[in-house]
Amino acid sequence: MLESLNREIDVEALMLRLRGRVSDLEQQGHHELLPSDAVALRNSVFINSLEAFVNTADQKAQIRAQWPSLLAGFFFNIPAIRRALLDGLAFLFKDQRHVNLALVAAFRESISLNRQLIEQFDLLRKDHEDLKKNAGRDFSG
Amino acid sequence: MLGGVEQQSWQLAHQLAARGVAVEVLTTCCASFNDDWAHNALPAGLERCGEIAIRRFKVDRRDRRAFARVNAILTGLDKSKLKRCVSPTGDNDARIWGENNLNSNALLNHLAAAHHQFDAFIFMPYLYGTTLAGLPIVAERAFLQPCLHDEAYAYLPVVEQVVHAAHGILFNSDGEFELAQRLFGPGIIKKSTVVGQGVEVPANPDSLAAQLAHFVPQDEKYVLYLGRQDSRKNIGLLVHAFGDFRRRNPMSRLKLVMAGHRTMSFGDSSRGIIDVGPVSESQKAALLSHARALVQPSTMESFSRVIMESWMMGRPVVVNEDCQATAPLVRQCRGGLLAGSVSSWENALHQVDTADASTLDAMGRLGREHAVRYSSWSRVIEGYERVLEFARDERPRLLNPAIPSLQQLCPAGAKAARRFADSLDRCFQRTRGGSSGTTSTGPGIGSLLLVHQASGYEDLTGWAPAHPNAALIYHAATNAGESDEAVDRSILARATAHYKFALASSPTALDGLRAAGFNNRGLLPICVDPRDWDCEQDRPLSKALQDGCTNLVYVGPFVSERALDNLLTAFLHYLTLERDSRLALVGMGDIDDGIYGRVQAKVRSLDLTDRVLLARDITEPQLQSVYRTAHLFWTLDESASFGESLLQAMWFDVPILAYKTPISSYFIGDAGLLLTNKDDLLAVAALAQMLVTDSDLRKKIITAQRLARKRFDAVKIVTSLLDQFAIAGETCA
Repeated sequence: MLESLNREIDVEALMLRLRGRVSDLEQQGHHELLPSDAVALRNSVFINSLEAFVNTADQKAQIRAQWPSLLAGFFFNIPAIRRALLDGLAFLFKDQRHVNLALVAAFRESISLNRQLIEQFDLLRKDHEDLKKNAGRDFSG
Repeated sequence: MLGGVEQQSWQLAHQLAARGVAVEVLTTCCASFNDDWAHNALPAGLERCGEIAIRRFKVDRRDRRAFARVNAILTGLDKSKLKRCVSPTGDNDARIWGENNLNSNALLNHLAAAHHQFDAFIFMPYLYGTTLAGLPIVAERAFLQPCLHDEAYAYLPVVEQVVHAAHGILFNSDGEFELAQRLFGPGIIKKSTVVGQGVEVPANPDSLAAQLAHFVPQDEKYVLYLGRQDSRKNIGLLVHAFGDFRRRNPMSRLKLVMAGHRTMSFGDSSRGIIDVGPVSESQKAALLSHARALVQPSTMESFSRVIMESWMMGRPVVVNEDCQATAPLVRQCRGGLLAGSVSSWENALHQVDTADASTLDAMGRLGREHAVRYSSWSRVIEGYERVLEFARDERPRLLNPAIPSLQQLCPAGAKAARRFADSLDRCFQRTRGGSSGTTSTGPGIGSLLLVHQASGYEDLTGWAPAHPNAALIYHAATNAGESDEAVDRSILARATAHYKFALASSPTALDGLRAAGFNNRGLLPICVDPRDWDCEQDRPLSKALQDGCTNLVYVGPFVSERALDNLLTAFLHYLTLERDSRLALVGMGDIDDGIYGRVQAKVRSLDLTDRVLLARDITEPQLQSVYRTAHLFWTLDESASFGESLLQAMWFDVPILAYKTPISSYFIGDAGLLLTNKDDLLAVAALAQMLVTDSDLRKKIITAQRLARKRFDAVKIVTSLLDQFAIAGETCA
């Protein structure tokens, strides 16, 4: 499948890596998606990306327990001050955190609903295609 | 002398003067980088310093506050946020920065009035008003020695304009040249020279060592920081790492000695940090000779003189692995250690502390060998003389004076053949130093006539008998049917009687010439000259394409629907592997309107309009933006195009993943990866992802591509073409 005259590139090792990667992907069901139903694949990619955003938001909405590594200095190196500042921040943004968590939960529900709708739309489309085929056969018969 | 650039320009002027070059230094009355740039501390006018004339001009008034505000924004930007060809600040702020920089109208007026008195101008460094406004006035004889760092100023549009305007560019190191290519594209390659920087062996250290009052170098165990103590030199990182090192190794005797000008001191003897301030040359030599190692945490270096000086004294160095100029040097000669994060710096300091003297000496010896070989003034000045001599000679590369002009006949409507002819014409003009050469669709008698014959277009081969010095260039169609091939065969067979030799634009076309019976035939690759891109690219497009997505690019003909379908499907697979990716499909050369329309419809039906950038016949600045932001050039094309885009991708250092065809094998050769089978498009996509993400593999391919593109150097192609004519001319006579 692959050819290279570049002596620096070990084609056999590269092919071995590639086979391993493809085998992993096939086990995850990538081939079943393509190329017969690229629209479904596109939707799945889209939904996955939404989920990634929600995961990031969810992660950031939690109470911060670790001091940011960029914020260091004589004053900020004292553990008691760090703890007090973190507690203060958690208290100040308590309401905002509740709003964020509620929004994340709502968005998750929305994604789940979207996924169901896409599945139902797919089923309907398949039914419609079957009906069309059968109707055509009935008429031609 | 406060900084490296000041020292470099001083020494360069003296060294050039010593070789008999009349040197005049044009500068301002401002005392130094650290002084007020609007204050004329030194007297204006001419002053002689040995063989050198120094002419100082008064600086302009400026709004310090406005400049400081913009400057603070620029210096505060995170390096990871800087994007190539995207201004780091708004147009208004960029204007304020330029207008309130260190400017001197008097100097600019002198340049405009007296420029004819000079053979060449060297402007250094790049970021001051004297260079940014002065260079364009004398651009034709201007050499820019930018002393470039990867910093926000280098991304300002005015800097790119100056870089492209310069007649030549001189670099201090290979790393600096690499950075410039990354920032300004391959258009600057042909006018660039790495001249290096000369370093003198520091003075005899032992005689004056004791003059450092409170610190006796020979009795101490220390690492040395030498140079301006400025936060932009990343000193904070070094001090932080040294503090961590001392906390973890309380019994260590290792100290950090800081020598050089500073506005604030980091010295703290209780923590082992000794600030000795500015030092004389002999004190510097004493400190260097007894140091365990020199430490240079800065990433803002274009050369770093102190590293060379340390090596000259046989001492190893510890440098920042993120510095593009110094890190490759250390890797290359193994004259020291590399460190990036705080913890790795701490680790490096621990290594320097615990290593035995012979290990450090061995590293220092390797560094010294490198410094002696590459930083001797005689070698460096020879490089300058070569470049400056070239500047005096207006037309140095006149190849074949027997043939003064080029005439080309190209069938109307044959787009691909026209692109080929245009590129040949541009290169011919440059190579000949500006002599006329036109591409025409009508007949004409020039000294050299090239007749382009393209499949499926009108037969122009009949013009040859009227011309004594003519050659046929045959372009095989990328989508030729059997009838086209039959017509071509008969045209070429007739032409064998009229042409002494014929050239093919692709291996497939060469087969056509062989079949037609041309005995004197050859392959003429398309001329891809990076000088075509020595101009600004499309900034809005560059910004849009640097949105964090991986850019996969295909540029070429739209004549094989199957190949484009395969590419789209492979890209869908790719999307499942990497969500944030984009495919740019750019039609260039032969474009079948039907196929283009169907690809467009398919992209829309797959709801991929936000993932696939589909375009045709884009402008050169747009094409430059596409290539410069590309992560991979991806083609599954099976057609017999003449491979222009493969060569372009090589010039832009974009790794190529191509389907194996005669043309891709011919150009890529041993440079990259060729697909011999594309049945499994998931595997093809996975391979593309490896090429995008595996930095080692990319590096190997790009290195090989750089060698491969040299084989198809446009000047070489035109030279060999003209040589063939010279031989043909003699035979005729």
